[in-house]
Amino acid sequence: MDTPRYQQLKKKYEEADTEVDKIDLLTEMTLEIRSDDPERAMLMAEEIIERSEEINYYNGKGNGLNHKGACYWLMGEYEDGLDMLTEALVIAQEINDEPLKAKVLNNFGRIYRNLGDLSNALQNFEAALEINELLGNELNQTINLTNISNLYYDLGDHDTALEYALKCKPIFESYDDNNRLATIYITLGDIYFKKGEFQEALHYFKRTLVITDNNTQTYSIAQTGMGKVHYQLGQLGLAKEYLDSALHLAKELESPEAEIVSEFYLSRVYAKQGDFRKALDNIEEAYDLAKDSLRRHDLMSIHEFMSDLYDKMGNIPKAFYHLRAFEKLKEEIFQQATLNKLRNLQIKNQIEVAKKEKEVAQSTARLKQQFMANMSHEIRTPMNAIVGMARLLLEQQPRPDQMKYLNGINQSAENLLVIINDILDLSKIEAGKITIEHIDFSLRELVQSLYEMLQVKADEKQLRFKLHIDDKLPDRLMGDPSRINQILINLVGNAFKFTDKGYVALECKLLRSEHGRVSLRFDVVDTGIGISKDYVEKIFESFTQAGTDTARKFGGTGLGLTISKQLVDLMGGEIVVHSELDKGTTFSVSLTLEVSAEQDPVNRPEKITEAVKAKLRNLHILLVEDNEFNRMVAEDTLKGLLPDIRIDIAINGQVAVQQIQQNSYDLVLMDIQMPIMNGVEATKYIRTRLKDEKKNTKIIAMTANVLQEDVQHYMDVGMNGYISKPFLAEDLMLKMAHVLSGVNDAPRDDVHESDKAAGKLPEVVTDMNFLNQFTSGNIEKKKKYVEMFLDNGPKLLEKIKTALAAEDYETLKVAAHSMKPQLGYMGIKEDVSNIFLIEQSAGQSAHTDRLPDLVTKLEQLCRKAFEELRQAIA
Amino acid sequence: MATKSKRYLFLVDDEPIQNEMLKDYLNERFLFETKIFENGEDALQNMHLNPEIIVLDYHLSAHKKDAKNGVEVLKLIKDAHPESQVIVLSGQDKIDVAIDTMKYGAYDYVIKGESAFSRIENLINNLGELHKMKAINKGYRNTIAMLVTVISLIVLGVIYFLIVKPNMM
Repeated sequence: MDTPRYQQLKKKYEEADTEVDKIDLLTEMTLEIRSDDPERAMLMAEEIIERSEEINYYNGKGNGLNHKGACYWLMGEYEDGLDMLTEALVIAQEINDEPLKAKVLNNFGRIYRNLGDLSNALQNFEAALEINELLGNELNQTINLTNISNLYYDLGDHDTALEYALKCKPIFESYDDNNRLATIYITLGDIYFKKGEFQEALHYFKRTLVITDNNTQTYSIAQTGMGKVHYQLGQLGLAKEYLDSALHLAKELESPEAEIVSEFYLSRVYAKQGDFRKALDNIEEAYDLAKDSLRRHDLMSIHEFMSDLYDKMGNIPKAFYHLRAFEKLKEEIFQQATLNKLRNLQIKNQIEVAKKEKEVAQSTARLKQQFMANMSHEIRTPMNAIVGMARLLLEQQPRPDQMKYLNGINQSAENLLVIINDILDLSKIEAGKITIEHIDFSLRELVQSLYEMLQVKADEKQLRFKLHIDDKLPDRLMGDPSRINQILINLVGNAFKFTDKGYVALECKLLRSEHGRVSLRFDVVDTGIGISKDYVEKIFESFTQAGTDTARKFGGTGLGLTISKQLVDLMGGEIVVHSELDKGTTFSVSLTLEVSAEQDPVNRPEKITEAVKAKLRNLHILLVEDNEFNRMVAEDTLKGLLPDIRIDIAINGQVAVQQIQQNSYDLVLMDIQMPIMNGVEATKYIRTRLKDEKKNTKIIAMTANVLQEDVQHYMDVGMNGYISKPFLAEDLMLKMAHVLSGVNDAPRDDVHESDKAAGKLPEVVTDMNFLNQFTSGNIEKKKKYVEMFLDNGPKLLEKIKTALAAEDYETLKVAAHSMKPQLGYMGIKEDVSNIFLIEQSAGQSAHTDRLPDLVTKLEQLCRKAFEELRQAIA
Repeated sequence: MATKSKRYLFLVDDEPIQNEMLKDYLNERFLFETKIFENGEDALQNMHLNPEIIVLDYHLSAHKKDAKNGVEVLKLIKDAHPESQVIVLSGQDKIDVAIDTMKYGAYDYVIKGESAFSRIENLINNLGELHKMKAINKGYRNTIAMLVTVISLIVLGVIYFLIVKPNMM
């Protein structure tokens, strides 16, 4: 009769090394046989208890006691069972063993149920269920649910009982545990029996018989089930057969439950057959048993039936006695039952409410997500319009100042997008769902662009904005630049927000450098209102600003610091704040980042920094330029960028020399090609013939001539630098700052080559972006256009060259005009090709002298472009 | 003009790449029968096709020295076929050229470059709208004329039956 699982456990038991393992296995073995053979289980439980006591193994002892209690329950000795379980519970609580506690509580519930104390039973089952839910033990939860289902059954709420039982069934089936399956099948059979669905009931009892051994308690209960169904179906012979067999087995196994039920139904069978004597024998048998085992539910039914029986037998006093007993018991049980029912209703309500709440919470979460997604979309759409339109305006040749604002709009919009996304993602961060990128980036570029972006704020509030980057810091690092940027924007932005006078400084220091990693610290220092001690602690919490009135005064969500803090945490860094009220605040972010393997040796184009601007304050310069248009451009550009600059004009070299003699200038911007006295001659004159203090006036050449030899020549005659036309305002400013700080353009080395794109062709001159976009990636079409250009381009180039040789400027102009859009389509930029300049120059007789150089350059460019394009379509 | 089965679009430009790209671009987006002409004279000879839209380059003298320039061609087109809409395309960003072309009846003026294609697309879309509006307008006018006729007939009938006929009896 030992199940395969029992055998398995036994084998393990024999192999087990430690006593503890052995005891644990013994416990499992006991469970395996318990319902089939409670007596043997009892002996084993006693052994467990004894052996556990010897080695002070409390868990083992608790389990043993629990088993013993369960065995008493199965044997109908409920009071002893309760004692054992109480002991077990004490141990479970002492050693804080939750699984054991759940098991004990479940068994408590079972005993209380059989005692008819349904409210206590329910309490225990629920407590057990709660523990098992916490532990996530599905099987034990199901067992608890089965028991709760049985309680509903007892209460006559068959539908609910059925609902619970049907929920448990598939789970037990999946565990493939015949013992438990038998339990649930019996429960189902009983429920269907009470509901009057006899075929269903029969089905489940039959299946129980199939899956259980024929010498077990479960088997006998299933047989009583068969018997009572057949009795109700009127098949008394069959019923008697089953019930006799069940009774026999139950007596053998000393199973009171099966015995009582079979005696009870046998009695009813006899009564139906008119054999009242036999019926009375059986029912009295059942009555005694039920009385002994305190099964009140059974007792009640027995009293009812006995009253009926005695009535039929004419024994009215006895019938009356039993009727009284029945009513009394019924009242007792059902008063309790009514209470229980009410309680259950409440519980049911609570469960429903909890369920509803959960559903609502889920749908709210869904709605919230939806809302977030929508909102991010809603914000993005107008933001895209802003960015897009700013770009469109940028394409329409805005004035330098407009350009600056448009760039500002662009950049701010993009940053805003990032920030919006992050606010939307705050929940994501908190759930740890944000990923930190690990990509190569330039630290200086990052800080520099941040500096430029926030300079606007500094200007607005008329604060100084200092920037310092440690020279020792490697430029290229691995990390998440957009997050670092976000953190710094938040901190610096905050600093500006809370500072009304003084300065804001962003410092970037190297702390340590080892094994290809650097620890660095960003300090954001301000001289603002500071944070009081009370708030320093809370400053990184969501929605906290230094007091609610601060929010009103300074605006903002207060989320910035929270996000920063969380991002820094995610990067494994640290953020700390030091602050003194009314003195200022310092936020320090320490990060450890990997140094990128490739450090870019090429100097990136410098940006206009505060230092550069400082050098260019209050300048007095002389602009020497004969062309009115060019003069205007230079003048407006400079005035736009440097409002306090004073610009004098000279229309040729001769005038320039005179003016330099009369005034003292910080700087001279000198055109090369001019009538009367050109730039080179003028420079020579200044450097050689003027008085000492005028001799060394700084001179920057402005020229379209950027050939190496020419530049060399300019430097040789004593110019300090050169800038090629057309120039970018930024480049001009940088150049001026350089020259003013005494750095001359070195003509021989490659500085000016890398310095000015015009000096040398870029690595790649063509760009297929437009064509790719235009053809939407259609390679055939792209090839067609490129081939047409390769066919047409050389012809036009030849035409330009021939026209130049023949000084036929009109033809040259037309050809250049034709070429211009084509170069554009191939992605060749104007600042590389100068094709527009060629067209313009060909149209103005004053400038035809610069055409040879430009055309030579154009030819070089075209050769390179043709080659690239051939390769591109090969 | 709506009776013509084919709707023609002329591209008049002396730059083959420009023509080819614009043709491809517009063919992908519109259902015009596109015809390419290297100079204004050829285009003018084909005006009997009644093109709905003509994209005309301002400079047309790249290959023929004495070729008519865009403005001249524009004038001739507008004189003979005022219903054809002309979009002038030019490499030049000069306001006086733009004003000139508009003065002679061009629908709009587009500067060559990467953004020219989408601008032309927009213009043709707008022209389509215009065309549609005109057609709808015409439809309305016809309806109104018809309604006026019907109503006057009814009024006449009423007058006849209520005033003329009773008097006769």
